[in-house]
Amino acid sequence: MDDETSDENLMLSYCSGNADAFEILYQRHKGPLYRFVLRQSGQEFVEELFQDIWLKVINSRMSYQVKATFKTWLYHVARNRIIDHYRRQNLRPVNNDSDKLSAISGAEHIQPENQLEANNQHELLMVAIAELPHDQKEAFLLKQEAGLGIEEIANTTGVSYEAAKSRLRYAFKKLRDQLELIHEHR
Amino acid sequence: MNTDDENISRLYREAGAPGPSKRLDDAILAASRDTIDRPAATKGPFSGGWPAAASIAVVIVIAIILVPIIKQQEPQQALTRTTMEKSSPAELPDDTGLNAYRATEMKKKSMDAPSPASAPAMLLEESDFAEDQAMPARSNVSSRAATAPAVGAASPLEKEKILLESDTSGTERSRMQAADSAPFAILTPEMWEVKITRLIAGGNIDNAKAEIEKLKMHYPEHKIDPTLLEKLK
Repeated sequence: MDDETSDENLMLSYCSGNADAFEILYQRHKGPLYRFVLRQSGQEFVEELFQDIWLKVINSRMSYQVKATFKTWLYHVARNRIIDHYRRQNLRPVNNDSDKLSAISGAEHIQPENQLEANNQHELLMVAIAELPHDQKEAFLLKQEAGLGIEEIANTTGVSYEAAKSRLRYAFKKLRDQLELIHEHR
Repeated sequence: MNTDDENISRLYREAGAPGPSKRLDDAILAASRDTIDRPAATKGPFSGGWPAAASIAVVIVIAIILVPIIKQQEPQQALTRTTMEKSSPAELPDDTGLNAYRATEMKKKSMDAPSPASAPAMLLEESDFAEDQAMPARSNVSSRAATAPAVGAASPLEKEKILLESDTSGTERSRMQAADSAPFAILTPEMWEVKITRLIAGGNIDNAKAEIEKLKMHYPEHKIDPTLLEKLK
């Protein structure tokens, strides 16, 4: 069992009782998954959700079957847990008509209080990501953190390939526009 | 992905990579080891997912449906079995003890011999049984038919004598004996109606009426052929 072993084999090995295999899996995915959750739920809930997701992985030890890549399955579990969190908190994720691009007309789309905090490019980017419609933000994070391709994003989020592609394209476009606008206003 | 998108991706990666705390790591890894150390829970009958549960449910439903049907059919099968056993030649005395058995029977019959008027009815009963039960021994029917007029004209006592004297086969004798000893309850309503029809045809109206009463008593739910009742009026 080494770093070259595939995620699926590691998970199967863990299912058959090898705790070390789980540790390798965890070290591989903990950072990206943590940030995927953090950027959707905020600092307040991230630890609780992150722990719940991994406990779900642990508890599915007896029933795990390789039907998709481990990463797709892991982020599918994470996504469901986040949606469940929104439901329990009686919140709705910001979910505009995300597949229709509405032109961003000015810097006023970024909240003034956020603007004050966005004192460098990285922070500006984070603010812009936070302002993305939920579906686009999710697609963007699945690409950036999990490294999923469009096909895998579509599978994870349960939408068509075209819809996933469209969400990702609009996410990038909005982020680009936001960053350019902020630059212009400085 | 164009250059602008690559720039955004680069910026995002540079933005920092927060991760879970050490405490959170330890808690999750400890949970993963605990699950391994804990013996797997014993699987129950419903832990195999919905196919297993559905199979069990189907078996239960089939059992619930079939058990009453089987119970309902059991008495009918038992009656049929009893009927067959009672009328089976195998249950009758074998050929070696037949003469002794017949001698006893003859004595009994001579004690309560029916009046000559009822003799035709007896004959009709015998022929009914013989015809219904002698399907495998059709070859014997012709020889029996040859003796039938003589038997028909004789009293029961004489009939037995004829049977003993005639060189009929064991099967034939068994059939005749079965007809004699068979209880009326083993007749099906249809057989009974045939018998009554023959009694009426033979002009034995009183006996036919008596048989009608017996039929009603044994099969109270059976609807007797109205034409039969019409003939008796």
